[in-house]
Amino acid sequence: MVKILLLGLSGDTGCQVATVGLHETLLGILKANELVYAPTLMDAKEIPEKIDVAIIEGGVRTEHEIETTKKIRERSSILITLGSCACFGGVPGLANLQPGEELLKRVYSQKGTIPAQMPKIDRLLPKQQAIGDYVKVDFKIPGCPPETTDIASVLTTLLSGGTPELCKTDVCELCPRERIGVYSKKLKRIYEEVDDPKRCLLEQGFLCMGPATMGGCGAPCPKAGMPCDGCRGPTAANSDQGLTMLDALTSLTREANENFSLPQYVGTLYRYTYPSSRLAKVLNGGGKK
Amino acid sequence: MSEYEPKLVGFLCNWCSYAGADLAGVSRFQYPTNLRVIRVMCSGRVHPAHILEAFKDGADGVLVAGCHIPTDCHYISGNFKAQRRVAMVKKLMEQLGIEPERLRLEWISAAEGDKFAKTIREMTEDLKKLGPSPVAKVLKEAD
Repeated sequence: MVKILLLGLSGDTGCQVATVGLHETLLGILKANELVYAPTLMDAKEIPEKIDVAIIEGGVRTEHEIETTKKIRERSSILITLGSCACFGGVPGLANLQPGEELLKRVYSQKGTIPAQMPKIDRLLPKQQAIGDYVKVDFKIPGCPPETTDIASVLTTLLSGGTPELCKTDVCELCPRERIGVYSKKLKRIYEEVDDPKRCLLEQGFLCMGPATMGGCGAPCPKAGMPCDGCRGPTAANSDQGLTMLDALTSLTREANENFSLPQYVGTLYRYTYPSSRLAKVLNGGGKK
Repeated sequence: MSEYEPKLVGFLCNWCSYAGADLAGVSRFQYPTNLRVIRVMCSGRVHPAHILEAFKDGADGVLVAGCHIPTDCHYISGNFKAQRRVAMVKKLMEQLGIEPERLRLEWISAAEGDKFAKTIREMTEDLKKLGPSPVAKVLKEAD
């Protein structure tokens, strides 16, 4: 019986729900293995003494989460980060662009559904960081949320004694859209124009993060007419998603015209990976190991 | 305390700007010693990662210098690529909290030794006014 832990830190539980979404595969996994700690699914008070496979979702934002992460690392033989928050810091990591205190003040001063009183958060860290910034991570399952097929294949391979393989391609690999080498001079938002479903979105001027994003997902977004927003993080060959994309954009902008400008450079290029981008690592202190 | 000396990294293209720097040398034009030169084959070869890596390692300013546009580039369109890239990296830097003035793009031909010396003098002065880069400050605190 392999003991499995499933825990969520600073994230939105979506990846844990995606794990439950394994359906029949999960039944097979649970037949031979045991879920020992999973607060989202069942009641358990203490983190068990011995864990074989620990799956953590969400990034690290409080000191309590650092302690929990370290405790789990000590007690488990394999640690898997599930989802982009755990792997790279994720969307909440974009908050690192602002000082934490200012951010809290700003959010809780808005009138509307948010209560005016600021909640007490114990030992809040100044920045959100990925799990890998604090402890050694054995496997990463990126995505927002990860594809259930990905979770299933990593879990079944691991539990049968094998080593899961990292996808080495980018999103474009499995995208059916064709590149013809003619580029749009203007960057367009998805509502501004109807795309040609046979042609590459990036060539048509829709900002698709496909070339800079790790593949393996089967390109469901570009297939459905939605540009990739890069949820699976950088490709195996590149460590920095935003800079790779910025470089790819150079060939897209045939003329350095003023029309070609992203409304939000960091928010678009590093939507999921800002805390683990090269420069932000220095600026944010990078987490102490 | 001694006066603050900014660290300046310069990516100079092999065909024009590096030769321009050479000419500044043989012509004995004076310019500050704050510059660290990195010779690249073309300014279009400078990836955004090269620029930001320089800042990451504590540079206070980065100069990308290449052949004059539109027709001087040895590889026909490399300088245009550099122009587009630098424009985008500047905007990214702004949002990351690094002053975009720390990055400068200049066209310096092999005959413009004086322009090279003048650019370095200007840049060093500007960087002295700006003070250490936010990244360099973080690095210093971590020491």
